[in-house]
Amino acid sequence: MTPRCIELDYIAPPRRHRWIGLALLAAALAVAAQAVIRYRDIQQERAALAASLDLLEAGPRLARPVSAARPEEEAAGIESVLRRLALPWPQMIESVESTASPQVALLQLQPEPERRLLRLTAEAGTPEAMLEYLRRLGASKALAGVHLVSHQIQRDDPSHPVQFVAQASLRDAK
Amino acid sequence: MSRLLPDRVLVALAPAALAYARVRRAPRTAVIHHGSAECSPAGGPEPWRGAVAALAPLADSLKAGRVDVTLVLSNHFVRYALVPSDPGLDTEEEQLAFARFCFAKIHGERSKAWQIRLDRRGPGSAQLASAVDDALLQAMQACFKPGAAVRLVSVQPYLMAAFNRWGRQLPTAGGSLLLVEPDRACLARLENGRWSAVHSARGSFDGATEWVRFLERERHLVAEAVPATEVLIHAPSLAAGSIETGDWRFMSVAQPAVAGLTGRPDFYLSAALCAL
Repeated sequence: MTPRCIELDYIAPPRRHRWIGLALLAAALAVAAQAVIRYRDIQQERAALAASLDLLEAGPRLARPVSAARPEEEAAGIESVLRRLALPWPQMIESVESTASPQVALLQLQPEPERRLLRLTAEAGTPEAMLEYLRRLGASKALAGVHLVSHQIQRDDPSHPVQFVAQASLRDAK
Repeated sequence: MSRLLPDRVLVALAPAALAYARVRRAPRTAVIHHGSAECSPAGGPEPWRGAVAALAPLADSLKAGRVDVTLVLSNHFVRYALVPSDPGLDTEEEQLAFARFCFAKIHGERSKAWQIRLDRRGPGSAQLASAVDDALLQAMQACFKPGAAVRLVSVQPYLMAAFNRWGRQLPTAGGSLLLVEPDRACLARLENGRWSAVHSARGSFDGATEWVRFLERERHLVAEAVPATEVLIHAPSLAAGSIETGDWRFMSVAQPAVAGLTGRPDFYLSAALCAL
């Protein structure tokens, strides 16, 4: 039998249970290795799930069924969108641009698809320029029934410009 | 010096001398410094007083970085006993108490002031026990400040350090290890991996004649017949090689080959390096 070490140390703890420490170290390393492998698998699984989710969200979004909970609201929304899409946008914008004048600055263009109206807010250098602008707007092909809703002279401004609101009906596209 | 592996200082403490070696552990084990000091051998019940007095300035001188100190105690400062195996003793406390009882039977009341250590060899085998004066242990620990960079990490009986260094040179079937110091010899014998005898004796053991006389006396003390065999020996007067005297063949232990040492270390330094 091979003689082993003597343990009679008065300070250092006995080393006779060294195998326990080695076993614990081996077990800890095994658990750590298992955790690393598991972590890698989970990362791969997560990446695959994320990719699948992206595909699911991108594909059937337009084909989503109309919610049964509030069909009236959904239908009204769709109708509003369709009315907006049906507006003669190119003609309307072309008419407004063709009436542009150096003395009139267009501040706001506000269509009302439900009533097929167009509301304009603008600022003119003089009342005459404002009237000339309205006349030319009324002569355009896309607009009808152009009229002045309100006007106000900006007295705070030294050049006293006229800010006005006009409204017109949209002609049907032909 | 490596931060992870602090230098070791191995110190052999004997009544008349102290030897030490500072050993660097990285990148390779090497003795970077060694020395010795004479002690005033104190007689009486505390022969270790002179050695501890020499240890204190050595401990103070170890200032450079972290150092782990190991002390190897001369067999003059240690008593040994073989504690019979008793299957009725379950806990370590019971086994230690039984070892203390064995020392008390041999040495009487004074053993109460000793600290006992028990080496647990397999069941059914006698166990080697050692005893050291509690006052000696306290005096040695007092040389090292708690929490300081210089730490006392190990106190080993010479028999432990020597056996752990050279025990593998013993024959597998059994053999004897004879440790000879000035004015003392200690014999430990193994039979098939079990302790069969441990005996430490005071006297003059300067040559082979005295060694043989000691071995023959030990042979008569044990009940069973001890065959004449090879004896592994560490002795100050013995150079490398072997001596045959009568039925006995004394084989000098192989000294550790350590970088930084030139030639054969002297006896006490060799004893200190056992703990390497």
